[in-house]
Amino acid sequence: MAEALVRVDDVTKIYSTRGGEVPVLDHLDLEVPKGDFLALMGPSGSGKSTLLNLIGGLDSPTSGRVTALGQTISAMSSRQLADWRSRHVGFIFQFYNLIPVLTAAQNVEMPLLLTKMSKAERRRQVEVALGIVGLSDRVKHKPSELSGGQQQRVAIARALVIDPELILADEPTGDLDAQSAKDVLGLLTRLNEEYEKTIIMVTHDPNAAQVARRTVHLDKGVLSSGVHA
Amino acid sequence: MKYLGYLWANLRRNPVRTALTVTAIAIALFLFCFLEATLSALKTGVDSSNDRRLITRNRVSLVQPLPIAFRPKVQSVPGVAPDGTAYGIWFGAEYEADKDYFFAQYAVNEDTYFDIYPEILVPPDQMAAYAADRKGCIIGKKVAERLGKDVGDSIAMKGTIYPGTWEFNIRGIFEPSERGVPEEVMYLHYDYVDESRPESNQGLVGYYAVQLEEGADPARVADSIDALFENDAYQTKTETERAFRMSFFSMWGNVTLLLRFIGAAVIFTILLVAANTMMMSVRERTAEIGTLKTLGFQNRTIILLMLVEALLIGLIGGAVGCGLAVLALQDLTLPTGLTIPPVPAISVAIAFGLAALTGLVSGLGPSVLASRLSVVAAHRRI
Repeated sequence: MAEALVRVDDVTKIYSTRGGEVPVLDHLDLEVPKGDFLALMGPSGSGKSTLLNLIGGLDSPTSGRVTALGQTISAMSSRQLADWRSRHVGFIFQFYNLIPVLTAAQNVEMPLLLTKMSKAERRRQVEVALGIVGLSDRVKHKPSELSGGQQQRVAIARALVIDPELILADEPTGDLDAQSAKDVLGLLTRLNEEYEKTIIMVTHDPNAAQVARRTVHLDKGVLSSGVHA
Repeated sequence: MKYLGYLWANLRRNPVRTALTVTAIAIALFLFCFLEATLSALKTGVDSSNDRRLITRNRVSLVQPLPIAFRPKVQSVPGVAPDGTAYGIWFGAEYEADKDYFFAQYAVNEDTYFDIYPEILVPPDQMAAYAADRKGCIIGKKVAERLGKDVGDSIAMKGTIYPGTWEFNIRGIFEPSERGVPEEVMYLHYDYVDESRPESNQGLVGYYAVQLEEGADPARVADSIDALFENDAYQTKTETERAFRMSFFSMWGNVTLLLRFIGAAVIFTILLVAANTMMMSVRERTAEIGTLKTLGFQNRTIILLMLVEALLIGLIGGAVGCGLAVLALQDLTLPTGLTIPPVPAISVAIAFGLAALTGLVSGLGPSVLASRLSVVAAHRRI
């Protein structure tokens, strides 16, 4: 078996609310090998997005340990996490989360502004990323001038532009029509197979989960099953 | 520099709101510049005062006269320059054709007055013509422009202190040699005015102007002059020209404080408007801020970007407001007759600083709030 890129060890996550404590993840263990394409399924409120946030260093576990790319990210400070995310993780969201006032190229360039790349290097990287998602002819279009599927492809290009080892996708097809969803899933498959990106995708859609190499189900904070696709 | 595109795009995100905020800041700073220029107008003459000149007047009040016979005694005081005394009276008349226009009129002795005030530049031929004509007068260029008069024209004044209609011939038009010297002024012949007064009022002057010798101590000379008349029915008060002119300004009460209070109130109000705008802008961008954090933007970078954005709005507003003030306030004459001089450079610099401060302060709260927002909370607000 390939070495684990992500390890989740005995992780518990409890949210404190006015109504009391809400346990979301309960002593959860998960291992994602390098090059895997994992679909994370489960009903609403099962803790899928919370788990994705913990793996992406966007949130911290109440207890337990999250290790990614050989680093214990659950022990990092928020500043270290931000730096780590900027170099190693690409994020794809259900609603694309593009900056509406920027063009496609400027949106894709945003993560590169955190690097020391020259303007010319950044432009070259952006062209490559937009080329991979098939939007080389839409560089100057703003999100409002693009379809949902195109916007999601711009978001994928933005996730891809830093050449991350890990891509985390939260319901990437949840807001798309069937054809666009198919295109996006095809693109993610290509990123996994051709560019060897490790992908963890949260989805409700069994059709979407089918493109993954592996599917795990989460229910009430507990991983209930693991199925190889 | 690499964030310029993002900053510029954010400024254009809601162009109407940005334009309104910039306009509000611009109007506030225009008003600030206007108030400062007005203060400067009220102080006209103070800054250009010559500390080598003294003014001697009646100790009781400026409206009380002094005898013309004091002149040789004043002249004899050690430290007074040769031919270093001149005198004048306030004429106080209205220009009949334009009673709303106020300009000062002094009846002065022509033999030394303009030597003691070399900043009143009159062409020699015009000065000679003035000296030769007892009904002659010299007016400032601004007065001439306002009244549409030229050398050789006559000017009718209705006396408010000395009754009747007085007809004068304009023999000279002066321009001050430096900015700040009062130029909305008319100079007449003292002798002509004096002879026309009732006999009981003749031989009295309103003030003496005294030119000091090189190296003379103004305070000591002033004390010596006043000591001369200590036991006279007409006691004197002698002070430097600057102190004399400042006493006029102080008659307005603490107008500086009042005008600056108004300016501060306006700036504070605009600060609240700008802060509100920035707060709205941040609330609208909660999800975006979450995205930036997800991508790896540090809190300090997000604070910096928002502060620079707010600073840019402040600076653009400042540039527009100050620019308009500099362009519009070029010796603007108000309906009250007060001429507003160009805005002092220091006031423009202060206004620009206030614009920057307004931007920074308005952006500080929202940017700190944005930086404290957790990524997960920000994404929940989509």
